[in-house]
Amino acid sequence: MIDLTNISSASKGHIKITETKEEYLKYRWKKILFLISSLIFLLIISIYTIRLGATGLSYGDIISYLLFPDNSWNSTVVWSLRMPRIIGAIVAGSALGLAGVVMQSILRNPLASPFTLGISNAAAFGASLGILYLNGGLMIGSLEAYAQINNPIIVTLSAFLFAIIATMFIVAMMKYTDSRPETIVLAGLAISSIFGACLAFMQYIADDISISAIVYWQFGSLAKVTWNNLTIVFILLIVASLYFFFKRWDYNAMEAGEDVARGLGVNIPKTRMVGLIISALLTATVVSILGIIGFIGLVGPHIVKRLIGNDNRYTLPGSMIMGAIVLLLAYLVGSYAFELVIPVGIITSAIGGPLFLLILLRGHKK
Amino acid sequence: MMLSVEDLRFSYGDHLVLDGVSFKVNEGEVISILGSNGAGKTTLLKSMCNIHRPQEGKIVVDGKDILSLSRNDLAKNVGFVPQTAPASRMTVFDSVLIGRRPHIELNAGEYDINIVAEVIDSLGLSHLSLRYLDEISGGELQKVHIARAIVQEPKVFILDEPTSSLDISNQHMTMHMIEDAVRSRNMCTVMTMHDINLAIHYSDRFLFLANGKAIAYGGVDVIDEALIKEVYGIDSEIIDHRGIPLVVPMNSKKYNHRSNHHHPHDIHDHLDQGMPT
Repeated sequence: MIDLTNISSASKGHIKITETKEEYLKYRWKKILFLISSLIFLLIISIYTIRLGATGLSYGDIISYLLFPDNSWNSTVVWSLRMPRIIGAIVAGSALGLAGVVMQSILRNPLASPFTLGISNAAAFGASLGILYLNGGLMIGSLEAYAQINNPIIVTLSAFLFAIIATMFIVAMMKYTDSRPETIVLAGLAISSIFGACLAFMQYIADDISISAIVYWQFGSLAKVTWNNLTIVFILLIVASLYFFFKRWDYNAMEAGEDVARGLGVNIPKTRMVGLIISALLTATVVSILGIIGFIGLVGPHIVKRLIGNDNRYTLPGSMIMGAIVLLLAYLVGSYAFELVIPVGIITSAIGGPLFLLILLRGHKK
Repeated sequence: MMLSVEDLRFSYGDHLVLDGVSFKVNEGEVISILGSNGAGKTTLLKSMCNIHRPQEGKIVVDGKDILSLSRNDLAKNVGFVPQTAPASRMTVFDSVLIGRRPHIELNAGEYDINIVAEVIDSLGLSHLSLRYLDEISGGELQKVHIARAIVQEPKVFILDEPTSSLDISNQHMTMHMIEDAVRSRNMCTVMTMHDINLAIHYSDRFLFLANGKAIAYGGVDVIDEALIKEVYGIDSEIIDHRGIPLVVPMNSKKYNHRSNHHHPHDIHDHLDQGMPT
C-alpha cells in the first residue's frame, strides 16, 4: 500500500526531511556551483585576453588605464579596442546563447538556434539592406573598404524585420507540418538559402566598394564593436533575460510536452510567439552589429545541458555564460593562434559544424 | 466535493466529437471512460482540462464552473496525465517539480520541494530521483507523469490511458498506485481505458461512449453483452470470475475453431450414426 497521507502533513509544517529532499538540495547546489565556476572561468579568460595584443601592456598598466583613462595611445587601446571587444564577446555570446536555449525549449527542438533556423541569415540580409540602401551605414575606404554603421537603430530595425519574417515562416511550418526537429531545421535551411540568394543579388548589383564593404561586414567579427552599438545589445539582453527568467517555469513545463504544459496552465501559442520574437530581436541586434556568428546558440546550450541537465532555471543563465565563454575563446583563437587574424564567425562555424553533426548522430544512431 | 460534467459539446470544424456528454463523479471515486477508437474518449478528457476548449457545457467542481477560471486557476483544480510525453534530459525530481508550476509565484519554496520529495518517496521513485528521464524505463516514466499530476494537488485527476504502454505487471502496479493516490487524496478521478477488464478491476463506475454520446453510465452492472456489442461491435461472453465480471471477446478464430470441435451437434451427429462416443 502506498502511503500518501503524510503529504498533507507537509502543508501543516510538520515536515519530515527525507533523504530524497536532502540529495536533491545537494544536487541543486552542484548546479549553482557550476554556474559560479563558469562565471569565474569567463572572468579569468577575459583578464587573460585583455593583456594580449601588439601593444605590450602589463596588468598594472591596464588597471591604471581602466581606472584613470587619459588621451594616450595606450589608454585608447585599452578603452576603445580591447575592452569593447571583450565586453562585446561576452554580451553577444550571452545574447546568442540565451536566444538558442529559449528556441530549443519552446520549439522542443535540440537542433534549434538562431543560425540553424535561418534567422541569422535573414537578419544579415535585413542589416545589409539597412546599411546599403536605408542610410544606415557608411562605406569607408577605397581598396580595403569596410562598412561603418552610423545608424545602428535603422540597421537593427531592418535586421529585426527580416528576422521576424523568418521566425513567422518557422511558426507557420510548425503549424502545417509534423514539426519534427529535422523538418524545422530543413525549413531553416530553406530560409537561409532564400535570404542568401537575396544577399547575393544585392551584392551583384552593388558597386565594388559596397560589395567589398558588405562582404567584410558579413564575416562575424568583434572588430566592429563600439561602445555605442554595444549599449543597444546590452539593454536588450537585460530586458530579455529578465523576461525569460520570469518564464522559466513555463519553458520547463513545455519540456514535458505540449499537453502537460497546457494542463499546467501554460498559454502555449502566446509563450511560443513572444519567446520567438524576443529571441529574433536578440539575434537581429547581434547580427546587425557583429555580422553572422553561427552556432553559439547551439554550442553554448548543449555544453550546459550535457553537464547539468535540462532545467531552464539553470540552463538559461548557464547558456548565457557558456555562450560568452565560447565566443571569447573563439575570439582568442582567431586573433592570436594564427599569424593572420581570423574573424570569430569563421572560428565558431568551424567548431559548431562538427558539434551539429554530433548532435544529429546521437539522435539518429542506427 | 463532487465533479459534475454537464452537456459537454465539442467539434473539430463540422465534425461533432462530443455530443452532449453529462456525468457526475464523487470525491475519491474512479470513473473509467470506455469506447472504441475514435469514440471521443481522449477529446472528452482534454476538454475537461481545457486542452481543447469545449464549445458548450459546464464542468462544475465544488459548485464552480472551472471552465470560467483562468488557465492557472484551472490547473490548480485539474491535474492531467497524458498517454505519452517526451522524456527530456531533466531529472525525475525536477520533472515532478514542474507539477508545482500553477502554485509557484517566482521560486520553488520549501513546501514545493517537500511535497515533491514525499510523492517521489511514496511512489517508490526515490532511487531514480536524480536520474535523467531519458535514462529510465517506460513504466518508470509513466510513474513520473502521475507523480507530477499528484504534486499539482488537483481536485480532479484526469488520466489518458495510464497503462497503454505497460506490461501486465506494470499495468497493475500503476493502477494500484493511482487507486491509492486517489483514495488518500479524495480526488475525483476520470480516466480513459482500452482494457475493459483492467478498468473493471480499478474503477467504481463506467462511462461508455459511442460516436461522441454517452450510451451507458453506472456501476459494473451496466456492463452486459449487448452493451459490448453496441460499443465495440463484437460478440462477447461475460463470465463471473471470483465475483468479478470478466469480459471475454468471442470473435477470435480460436473460439470459432474450438466451438466447432466441441459443439453439441457434433456429438449428436456421432450418436445418430451409431458410432461409439
